[in-house]
Amino acid sequence: MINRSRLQSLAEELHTVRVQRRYGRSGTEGLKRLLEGLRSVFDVIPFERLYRGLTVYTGVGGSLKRESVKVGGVFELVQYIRDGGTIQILEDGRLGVTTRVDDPGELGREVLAYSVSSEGTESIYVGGRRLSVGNPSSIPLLAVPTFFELEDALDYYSTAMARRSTCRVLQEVWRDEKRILLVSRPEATMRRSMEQFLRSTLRSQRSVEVRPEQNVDESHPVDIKVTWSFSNRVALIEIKWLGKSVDEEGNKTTAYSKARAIEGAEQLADYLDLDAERRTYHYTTGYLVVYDVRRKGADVSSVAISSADGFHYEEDEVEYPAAVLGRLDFARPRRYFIEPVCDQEAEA
Amino acid sequence: MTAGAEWASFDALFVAAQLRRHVSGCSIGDLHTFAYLACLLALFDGQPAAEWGYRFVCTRVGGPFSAAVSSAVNALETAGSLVVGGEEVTLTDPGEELFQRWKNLATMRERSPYLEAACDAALVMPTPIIAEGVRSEPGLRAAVGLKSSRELLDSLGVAGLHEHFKELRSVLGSTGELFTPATLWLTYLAQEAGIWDALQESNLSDRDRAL
Repeated sequence: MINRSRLQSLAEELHTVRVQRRYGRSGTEGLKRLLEGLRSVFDVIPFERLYRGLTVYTGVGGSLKRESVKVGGVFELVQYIRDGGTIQILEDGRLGVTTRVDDPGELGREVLAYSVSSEGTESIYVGGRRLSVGNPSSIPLLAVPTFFELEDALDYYSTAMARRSTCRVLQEVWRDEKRILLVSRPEATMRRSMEQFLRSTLRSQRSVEVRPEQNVDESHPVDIKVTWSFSNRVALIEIKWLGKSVDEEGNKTTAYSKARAIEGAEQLADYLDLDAERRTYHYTTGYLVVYDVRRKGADVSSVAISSADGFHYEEDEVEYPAAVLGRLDFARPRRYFIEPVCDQEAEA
Repeated sequence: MTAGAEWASFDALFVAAQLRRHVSGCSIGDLHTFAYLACLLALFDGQPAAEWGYRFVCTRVGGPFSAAVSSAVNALETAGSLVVGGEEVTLTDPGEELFQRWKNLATMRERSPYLEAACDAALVMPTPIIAEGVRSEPGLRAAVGLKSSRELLDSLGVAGLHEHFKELRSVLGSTGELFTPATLWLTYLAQEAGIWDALQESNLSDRDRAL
């Protein structure tokens, strides 16, 4: 049974429907032009570099005259858009660009605009009104590519989602805005962030399951399991974190060092052994993902951190046992160092 | 080559070409998913399911699969029109030329709007979410969990679809195109599947609400 009221309320807010209702066919064509243009723009401009935000817009019918430099092709945008700006998509497909980040709500009534904020929040503006892009996750889905390979997705997640905690779900793991200490028990949030990302971007996957109850045996839960539709591959992802967490009262609850990552690698190897005994028709590969938020000298009283202390562990790789790394079913472990927000006063 | 085989070949080329343009590539799973979605949009547009030219079944893992599309991919790969590597399917230059030739044939032109609307949905939402939405359509939902592959678009599946389509038409009225109904329906299905959150009310500022 279809839920009519839910369908109705979706229609009221979904940008594709609003555009069609307001502008008819020319609006739908304009929206497709805008969305196609976005794909080209994000092929050459990584959204995670857009610290000032980006606005991309196109006119719906009639001429739209705005001050911008006309460029010959999408690759020329790179010269102008370093950390933010505004791009106009003309009806003939040419592009105009300015380094200024225009307010997408102020571009006019005959304009369709897209914006991504410096925090990674996406919006579509129809004639100045902000509408939902129906984004199901914490990830700016119109700006982020999709991936054929899990390895590529995991590496992209590291730089674009984790590095500056761009993923909105991941922003929930912090005790403080400076990203110094974690809240208590952040594992579930980290799993949710990873799940949302893979579910939205990994192509041909049949399912991405966060299943605490998905045990390889009763005592060793696997964090995330990925299966594919047209392949007998299975990926088991184990998530660990390094750093310190505090409880709601502000007391330090847990501190994990590199030993925790090694423990995770050995656990995962054990899971894979157990899995191999039970499974006949699948090839299983284990992936260890370690969120590294170690800060030198940080404790529960820390409210600021210097670059030297905040980035002290940035290059401090974990040395895993050779027996684990040598396994054919064990992928290269990934350490996601998450940057703190450093303080000039703390530098002094 | 039978008409069904030709249509399946054309559909595979169409999806591979459009997804290359929209999302930088296409997977084997995408070929089945988007061909099936196009078939559903033809049904929405009043075409009988039997006239699509080939059939689909629900696989054991709950996705649409067409033996005709699968055979077409093999034949196109042998002919050098497609390259299949791992999960990815790539349209070659000869494949693009073949696609451009076929696109102008009257029999192929009739199905192009359905394939185009299906593929254009990939501009709005990522292909993994479209796949999840398609897996939640009534026919596939009913077929999931059965031990054997079940043919899709049988009388039971079509009845469930027509109920959805009736409501879609009622909510949207006549749009004169398929992109809008396709994106609304897929968004609804993905939301029902649990992945497509509500409309992110929390992200809207007071000013936006007032507009």
